[in-house]
Amino acid sequence: MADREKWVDDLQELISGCRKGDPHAQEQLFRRYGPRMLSICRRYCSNLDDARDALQDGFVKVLQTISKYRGDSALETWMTRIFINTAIDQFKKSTRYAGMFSDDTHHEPEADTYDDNAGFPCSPEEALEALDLLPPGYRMVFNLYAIEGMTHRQIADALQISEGTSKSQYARARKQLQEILIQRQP
Amino acid sequence: MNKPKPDIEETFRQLFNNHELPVSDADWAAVSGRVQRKRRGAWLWFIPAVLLLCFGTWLWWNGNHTELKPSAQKKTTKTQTPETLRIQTAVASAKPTLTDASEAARSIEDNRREKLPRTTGQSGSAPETESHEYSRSGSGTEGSNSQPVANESSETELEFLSLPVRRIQISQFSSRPAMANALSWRSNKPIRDLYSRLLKPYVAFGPVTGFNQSRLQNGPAGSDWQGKTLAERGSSPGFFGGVQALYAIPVGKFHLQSGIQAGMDLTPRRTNWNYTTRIVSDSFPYRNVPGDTLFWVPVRYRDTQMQVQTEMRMRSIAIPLQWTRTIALNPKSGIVLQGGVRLERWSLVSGTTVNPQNDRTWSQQQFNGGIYGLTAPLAKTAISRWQGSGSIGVGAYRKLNNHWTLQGLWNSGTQLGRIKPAQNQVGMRQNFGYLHMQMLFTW
Repeated sequence: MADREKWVDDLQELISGCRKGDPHAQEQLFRRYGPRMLSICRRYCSNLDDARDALQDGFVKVLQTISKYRGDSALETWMTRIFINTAIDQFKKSTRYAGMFSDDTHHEPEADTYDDNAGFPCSPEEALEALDLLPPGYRMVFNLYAIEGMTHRQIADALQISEGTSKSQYARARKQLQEILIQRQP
Repeated sequence: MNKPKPDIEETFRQLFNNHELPVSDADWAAVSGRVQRKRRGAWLWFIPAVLLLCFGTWLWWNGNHTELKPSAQKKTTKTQTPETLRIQTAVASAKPTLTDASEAARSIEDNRREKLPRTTGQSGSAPETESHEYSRSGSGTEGSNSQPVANESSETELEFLSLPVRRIQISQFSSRPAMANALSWRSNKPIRDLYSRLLKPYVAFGPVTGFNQSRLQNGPAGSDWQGKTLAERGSSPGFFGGVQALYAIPVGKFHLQSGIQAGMDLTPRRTNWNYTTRIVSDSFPYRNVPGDTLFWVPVRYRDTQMQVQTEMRMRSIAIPLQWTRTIALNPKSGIVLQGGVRLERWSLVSGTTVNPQNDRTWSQQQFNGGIYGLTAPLAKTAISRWQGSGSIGVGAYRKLNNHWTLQGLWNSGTQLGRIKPAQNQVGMRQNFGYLHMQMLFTW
């Protein structure tokens, strides 16, 4: 319990320092949350270099807007939202974004054809490799829905697509992911 | 035993639950460098402010070391307000070369005791008294007796100093939409009288505080928050506190005020306090800094004030032009005439920035981390609006005693606007009128 309280005190001190622009506190914040945030960025980006770019963009935003953090939610949760938004912004800026979802607008979600015997990834690295093989749009929707727990309505708003497109993209992503995992099964 | 069906979502979620990837020193160096650059860039906007202050200081320094030409001593006194007299005391003592200091000081002391109204006159002769017009400036010394003013100093050039110095204002607006109540306290006490042959800067420095109680303000047609009070929209009363530094430059017969005002808003929202820094810069090229930016260029000629104000609040810009004229009917009361036009354009995104407690927008705000309220997903519900309005007002004031003044002003006008809620264009015209009751306390 005492450790927990100390951790919270340290965190408050860290936040306070960052608000004041203390470089030492900023670096501590980066060291503490950077690895976790890089993992999040990596899920949304197709390679580690892009993920590092997203990490830097996200942290610049975090450090510039930490004064607006009111403590309504955990700092990590707040930061995660910022990094997800950063990833979405980068995704939108990509030249392929405009036509990325156009073919899927009216597709109904396909039936769950998951096979109980299909192989599961046993490590995050394997899971990332599988995600890398998905088209960017599929990966984005899968990440937002399956891992972040957003609703299709929220995804549609965030990506400026229809709710139906989000659902169909997710169903296709899920199906393709299963196929990838089955193929990679030894 | 039935084996539970594997869940691919759950599997991925668990795999990435506490997953981390090592960050490098190069990552931190890149982040740190960008943050420092941005911080340095933000301060660039203060450079004009600093330059302006330096310029004002230079003028002050220059003025203090400049002796007047003889012609400047022969200026005549056309208007004489109590406030002017008060400030002349300092002038006379600081600049004995202007005139006979002892004579000026003595005459000013006489005037102080006898509460002079506005007078006119020529240098060296007894001025005439305008019994029908009185100044309402802040020192509250206008009175019943008029005495000749033996004043040979350059009070004409200091006439613009007849600004309200200290005033407490309690306002009550009665209208829809309107602010309900406001209490503000303003102190523009000069810290040093200034003089220059080229420019006549006037420095006022003091706190400006205010309190806005809940407002009833309708949103535009088509907005989510139309007809809702600020409380319903998740807002709350707010306080403002700050300081300002101003000086005035005479341009012809008018005086242009400019300066800097900086302060802080305190807004209790629910159980939290929301701190917003407000930077107000007068007559500088504006930019959209976090918080509010206000450009305020009041022009004053005798007791007539014309105020041009440009305000930019995130994505809004307003140019109000207001003219106010007070005419004293007798030492205790008079009438107030007011006219104004206002051109405004603003755009906002309903939802995150307006009503964070609405279910849908609240989730969007959470999703957006509370800082991306104006991003594309929310821009679907954006509203932009052009509007212009003109109004005229007429009222009266009554001095209750040496400190308190009651003033009522009825304003009426028409507002024309063009609103763009979402994808639709809506034109609108609205007549409005409100009664503005004020209790002014000066001392």
